[in-house]
Amino acid sequence: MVSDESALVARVSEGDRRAYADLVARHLPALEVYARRILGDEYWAQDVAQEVMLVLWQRSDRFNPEKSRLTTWLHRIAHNRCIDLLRKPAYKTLEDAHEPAAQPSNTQETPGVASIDAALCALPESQRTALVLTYYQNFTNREVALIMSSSVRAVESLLCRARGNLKKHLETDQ
Amino acid sequence: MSPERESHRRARTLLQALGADQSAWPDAERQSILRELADSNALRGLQTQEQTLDEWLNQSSVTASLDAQAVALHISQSHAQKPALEVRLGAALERIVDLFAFGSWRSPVAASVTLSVGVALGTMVYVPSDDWSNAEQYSFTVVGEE
Repeated sequence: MVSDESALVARVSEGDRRAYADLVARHLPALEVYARRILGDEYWAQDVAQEVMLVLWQRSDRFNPEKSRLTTWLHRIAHNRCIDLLRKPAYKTLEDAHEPAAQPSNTQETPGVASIDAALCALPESQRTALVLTYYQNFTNREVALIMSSSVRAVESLLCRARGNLKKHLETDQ
Repeated sequence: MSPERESHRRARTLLQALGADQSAWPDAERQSILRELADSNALRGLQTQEQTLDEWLNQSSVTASLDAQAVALHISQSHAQKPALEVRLGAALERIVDLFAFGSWRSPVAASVTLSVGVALGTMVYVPSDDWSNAEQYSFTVVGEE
């Protein structure tokens, strides 16, 4: 899979549109879901996911398969973009113009789902990122540390605090 | 801290960080956590708590809505690729080589060489006059006559 993706990336850097479409189909959904969980907003998440795909098209030569998997590299770009957005004072104002954060789009969803998403959004940014990358995106602690430019121990500490905060939320919710 | 206590503490940390599902634990530490769980009621209680949290987290179902095929087509058709630095440097070097390979550079270089040779010869042949008195007199005479 990894060498297969490295070959596809090499073809993308030569302008191969079919290889690019293949990689977009593999990675875009996960990146959009990741950004949505971090930003709590569907439209900003779509922007971030498409920006990452643009980087893949324009700067695929920067990916080094010896350093990480392609998904790790792409999530690192998405993470940095999400952090940029969250730290912009203008982001909150613009976010209010979109649909409310963590609003369930599907009316058939189980009661409590909105509560989970709201609880995730209420976590501090670094705790939320560590939890989402580990729990929902299935990265190892080492990969999460690489994405967040942190250490494995720091990631474990963030995860403990994130899950501790969610447990408190769950206890008060029940 | 004794190795036993350290192992117990590590198992607790990983349960609290990664949850109750053993597939989420690091491969290298899974057996050690399982041993600690077998020996400790407190850790088993913690695992139950973490399992409840895992089940709650599993209810979240955010889905993607972008059309990957449309996104790929749009980006690849409307944005040019940016070549790597090495490629850009290579292209610049090729342009320099092309410049020297064709005749367009010869005329400017020939003119500058001719000018340089002329200046060098002039500097060698010209001997400045030591006596400037005649020149001053001539100058004075001309002004006086006016």
